[in-house]
Amino acid sequence: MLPFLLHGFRSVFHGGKAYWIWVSALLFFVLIGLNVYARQLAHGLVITGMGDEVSWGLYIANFAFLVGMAAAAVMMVIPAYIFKDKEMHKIVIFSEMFAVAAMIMCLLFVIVDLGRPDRFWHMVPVIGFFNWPGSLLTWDVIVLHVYLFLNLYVCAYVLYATFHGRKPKPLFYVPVVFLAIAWAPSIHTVTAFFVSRTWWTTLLEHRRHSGGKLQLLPQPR
Amino acid sequence: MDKDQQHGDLNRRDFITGMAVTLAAVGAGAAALSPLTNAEEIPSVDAFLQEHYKRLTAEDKKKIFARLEKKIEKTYGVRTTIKDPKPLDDVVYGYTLNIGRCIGCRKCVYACMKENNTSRNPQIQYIRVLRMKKEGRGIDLESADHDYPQNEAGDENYYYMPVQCQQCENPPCVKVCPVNATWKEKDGIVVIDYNWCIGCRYCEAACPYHARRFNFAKPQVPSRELNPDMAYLSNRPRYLGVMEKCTFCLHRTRVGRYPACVEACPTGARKFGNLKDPESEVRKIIENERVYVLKEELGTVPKFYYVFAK
Repeated sequence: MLPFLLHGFRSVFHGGKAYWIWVSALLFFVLIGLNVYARQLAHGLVITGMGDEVSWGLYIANFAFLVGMAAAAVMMVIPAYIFKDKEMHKIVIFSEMFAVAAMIMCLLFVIVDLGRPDRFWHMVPVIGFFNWPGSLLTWDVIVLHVYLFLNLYVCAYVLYATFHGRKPKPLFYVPVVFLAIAWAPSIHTVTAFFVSRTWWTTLLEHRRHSGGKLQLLPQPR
Repeated sequence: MDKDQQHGDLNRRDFITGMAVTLAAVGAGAAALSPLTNAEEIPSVDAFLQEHYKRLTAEDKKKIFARLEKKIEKTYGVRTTIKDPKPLDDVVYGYTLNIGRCIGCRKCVYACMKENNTSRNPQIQYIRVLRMKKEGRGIDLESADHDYPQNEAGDENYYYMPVQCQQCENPPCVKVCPVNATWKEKDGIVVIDYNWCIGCRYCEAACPYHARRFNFAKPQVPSRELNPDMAYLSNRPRYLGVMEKCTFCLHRTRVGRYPACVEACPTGARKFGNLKDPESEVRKIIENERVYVLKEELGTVPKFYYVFAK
């Protein structure tokens, strides 16, 4: 396992000019994001421009978007395994990795949206006080984490086998791929539930004076 | 140069580049994180590890309250004792508000702020007064305005309708909370444990009455305006990044006093009492007057009744 991880770590620092320009550009934006988040931690969510009138903003919009991306990524796997399209096998690992990346970003967007990220442990089952199954957010937490780990497992197994020059054994990962495909629609329920609970009172009712508002979509007037 | 040596060179160069990049990244990361050095609120270890209110023993509570009192004394220079009044037996609080009498003076809004130690900058108000033109659509929330200037209060051409927490029997905000930081007490009051809330604002999104407020910035209350009569579940000073809401002033009402908004109302539009007591004023009003609740169709079953009467 160690040589595998070391190799992975080393290959991060290995690349041509274009690679380094790309990585530097990404790091530049990462640092800006880090800096702004540090300010948010120091002074509160007020720096996002949100307020009681618009209490959820781009963070939740990105969260909903990335949930969709992650689910879509795994849908790319369907032609390979269900329709037996040999060519599609080449992109399976990429779409799984894409799903993992999207899922990680997704969960990070939830965390940056919290007013008290230091109390995140309150949300961890058993040691926290999990409002299950009452709150749809707890459902989201479970669904997203399971999805993340399913995809992470498939990626890790396939890459690990390839690293050792073996062909990945279908028995060890294809069932998980199918589980992930089945799980993908369930993560769509995350957005659906999330939004329905909020818009239950806003879209069905009228925009104004009807409670918390989301400015993710153009609102009806 | 043979092949192996070339390989070694490459590795060494990679290593040096790698180290340089790592060092630069660490330096830049530290610079990016520097705003954290003037963070406005850093929880202590005890506060970080504090358990949910319902899981605290009497002993735990004593320790926590002492810690909070010390903190308040340090921050505001005010000596207080944090109380923890329990719900009374056979009491469910109800509220009635006479729209026919309300003149929209917002006295209740400011009395509430003072009583509940809500932030003055940025201002957090639990009560919003909606103003609606009497002629035309009448009580029509969609045409309501809650930003009218103070000097336009008391206009006879308008209805004024204050909206605050409706203390629902079936509260959507409680349902959505992922960590059980908010719950309905035995006397019908929906409360929040400010030390347990993670600040996801799901409850704010779920509340159909826009009754919940979030501390987007560090709440500011001038020391001399701090109300020292405080309870753990109601008006003790709040934290940055947590929710708060109207608690029917439970530190007052559970010891037999009226909420601050009732006392402040100059027209007597606001009435408060025990819904379980058939002799109470609110019961009489609900039984004999024309009353309605806001957004009845949502099934939240508010305990806040609007009255049309003289």
